[in-house]
Amino acid sequence: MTRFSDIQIDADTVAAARRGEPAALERIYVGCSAAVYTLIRRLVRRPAVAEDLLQETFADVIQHIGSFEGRAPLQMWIRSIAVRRSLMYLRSPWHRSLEWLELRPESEPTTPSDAGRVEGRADLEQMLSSLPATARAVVWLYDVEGYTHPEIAAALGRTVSFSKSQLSRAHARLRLAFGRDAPAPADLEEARVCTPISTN
Amino acid sequence: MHADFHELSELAAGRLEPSAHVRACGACHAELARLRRVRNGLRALDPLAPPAAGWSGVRSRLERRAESRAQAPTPLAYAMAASLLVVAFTVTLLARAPQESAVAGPGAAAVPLDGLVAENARLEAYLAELPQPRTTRVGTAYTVATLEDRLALLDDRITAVALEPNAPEVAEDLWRERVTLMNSLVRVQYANALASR
Repeated sequence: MTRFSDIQIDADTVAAARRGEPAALERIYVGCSAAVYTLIRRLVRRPAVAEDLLQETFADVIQHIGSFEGRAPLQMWIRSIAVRRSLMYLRSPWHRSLEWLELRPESEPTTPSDAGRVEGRADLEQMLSSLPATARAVVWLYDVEGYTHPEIAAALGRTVSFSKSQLSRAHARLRLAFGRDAPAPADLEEARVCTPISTN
Repeated sequence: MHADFHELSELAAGRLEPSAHVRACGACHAELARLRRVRNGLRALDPLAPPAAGWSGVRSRLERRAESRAQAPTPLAYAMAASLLVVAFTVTLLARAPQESAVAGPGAAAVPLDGLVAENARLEAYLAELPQPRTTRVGTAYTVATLEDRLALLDDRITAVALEPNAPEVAEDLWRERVTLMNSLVRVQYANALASR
C-alpha cells in the first residue's frame, strides 16, 4: 500500500499496538512504511535524510501510540507525524545550510510494479524535485495528501495566503511538465470574451 | 471574469462546485482540466520503496532514545541552562535586537487569531532572511535546537487543533505561545548572525 487512504489497519492490531505488542507494531510498520517513506521523500529530496526521518517517525509512533485516541484513522495520525517530522527538518538551519546539495537528487530504486514509466511522468517527477522545498511541500500536501490551505498553514507555521501563493507558484512551474502551451487564467485577463464549451 | 487560480485549484480538489462561468468558459475549463492532469499526474507518480532494513532501524532508534533518556540531565537542569542562556542573550543584545513583535508581551491577549498567525509569518520571513552565520557557538546551537524543538512540539499541537478543532481560545493560546518562541528564536539567530560577522 502506498496511499494512506488505501491502508487498512484492523482494530485488533491497533489495540495490540497500543498495548505495546511488538508483532502488532511491526505489522503497522509493514503496512504503512511505503506510504510514509514516499510521503517523506516527496517532501525531502535526499534518500539518506528520508530514511532517517522514516525511522524517527515510527519511533515517535511507537513511543506515543499509547496516547492515540482514535479520533482519526491510525494511518492518518502516522501521516501527521511524518509531515511534522519532515517540515521540522525543512525548517532547520541544518537543512538550509545543505540545501545546495539537494539540487542533484540521488537515484534510488522504485517498487517493481512501477517499471516502465512514461516520459511525462518522469518530467513531472523532475519538475517536482526541482521546486523549492516549501513549494514542493505545499503542492504535495495539497494536491496529493488532500490537506486544505488552513491545515498546511498550521503545519508550516505560516498564513493561509502564504500557502495559496506557494501552491500557485509551484503550479506555474509544474505547468512546464503538463500543458506547456496552455495559458493560465491570469494570462487570459486580456481576453474579453469567453469561449463557450456548449451552446445549449 | 475568469476564475482565479485558487478557485480552480479548489475545484480540481473537489472542494467547490463549478460556477456557471467555469461551466461555460472554455478557457477556465481548459485550465481546470490542466490542473486536474497535474494533480492526477502527481498522484500517479511511482511510489518509492522504503529501505529494506527499515524496521530494525526503527528498533535501533528506539534503543538509542532509551539510552539517551537514561543518561540525560534532569529537566530541571535543562530548564536552568536554557534560562541562563536566554537571560544572557537578552541582556546583551536587547538594544541591538530587531523591532519587538507587535503581539508578544502584555498586550498580546487582545490580538485575534489572524493577527497572531500573521505575526508568526512575519517572524518566519524575518528569520529566513537572516544571513547564515559562518560559525555557531555550541551554547547558541543548543539554544536554537531547544527553541526549534519547542516550536516543533507546538506545531504538532497547532496541527492537532486545526484538524480537530477545539475551543477557539486554545488555538489562540498556542499561536500566542508560538509568537513568543519565534521572537526568542529570531533574537538568538540575529545575535548569532551579528557575532559571526
